[in-house]
Amino acid sequence: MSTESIWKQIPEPEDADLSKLLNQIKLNDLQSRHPLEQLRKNFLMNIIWGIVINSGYIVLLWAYPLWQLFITIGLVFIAGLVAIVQGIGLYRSLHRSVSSKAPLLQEMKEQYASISKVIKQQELYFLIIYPFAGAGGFMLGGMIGSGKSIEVFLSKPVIWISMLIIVPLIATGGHYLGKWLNKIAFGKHLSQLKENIDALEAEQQQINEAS
Amino acid sequence: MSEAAFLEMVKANQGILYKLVGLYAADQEEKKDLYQEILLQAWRAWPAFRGEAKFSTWLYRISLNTILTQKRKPQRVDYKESLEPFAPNVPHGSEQQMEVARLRQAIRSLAETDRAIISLHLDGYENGEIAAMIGITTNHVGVKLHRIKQQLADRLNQGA
Repeated sequence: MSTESIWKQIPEPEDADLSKLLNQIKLNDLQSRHPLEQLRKNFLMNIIWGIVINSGYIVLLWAYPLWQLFITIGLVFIAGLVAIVQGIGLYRSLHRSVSSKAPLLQEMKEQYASISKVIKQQELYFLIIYPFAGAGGFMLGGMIGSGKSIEVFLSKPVIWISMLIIVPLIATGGHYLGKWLNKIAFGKHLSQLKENIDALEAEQQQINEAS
Repeated sequence: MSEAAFLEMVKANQGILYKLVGLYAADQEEKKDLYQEILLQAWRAWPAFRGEAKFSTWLYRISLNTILTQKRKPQRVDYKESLEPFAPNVPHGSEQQMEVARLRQAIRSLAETDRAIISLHLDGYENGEIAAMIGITTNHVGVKLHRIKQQLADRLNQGA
């Protein structure tokens, strides 16, 4: 018997669980678990935290007006400000909902591009700020911890050497930690999207070439 | 349109949702999650629905777009678990039930995009309509359907 005839034999499907759900559901109370929604929520939280942390930098620089901190923390502050402005633009460009008009392939490609763009922007931002944030934190922590002025604290070569070792370690560690967390959150999903996009596009290309 | 009226329209077409979530969900819990997500996405998109397409076609498209862009668990090809809601009126143990079960298992074992294409085809959509919903050319749909049907036939024969 053909596939079509078996399919036609199947009566209109019913599902008691889903039917019960439909009768109880309040659409306006539903919370979306869609990756786009998750991405937007996470991104909004990042922007809010970015504003809070950047405000903290201003307080820090006001409390410790030292040129070494102005260079390191100041650069982190500027990078943070740029990231916040870019982040707001990106946040606004992220779709909140699935399209009811776009074809499936386009929808998958747009979602893949949006998630990849957010991840890349976050990784780039952290790659830039980790070394400066690490150096600033090291100097400030050392100064407060030792109770000495920053010039005295940094005057010993062992402190400089320690900073040159620790700061790249913090920067590299932070960068890979961020990558790993993104992989946990979106890695499998991105791979699945890519696989589905490739499945549709690769064959289309072959057909185009043949015709 | 009110929420109640929208849900009534969904109820009239809920077979589409049952069938699609049944083809993609890995388990009962995921089936409910996918179903709720489709309802929510459809409800959000509803104000933009102008009736250019039939409601069922519109719902089919948003369901596929939601399911295939949603985070899902790895696929389990386990027709026993999901056969009952799929064909509750088919007598247990009958030849018809076995055929339905084998077809369902065969479709669930296909690649995700192939499952979407064959289900649209089996539900009576023309190749041009499938091409517009998936975003590929009509020629490509023809090529894909030919290959998918061969795969299904092979799998159904293996299981026979």
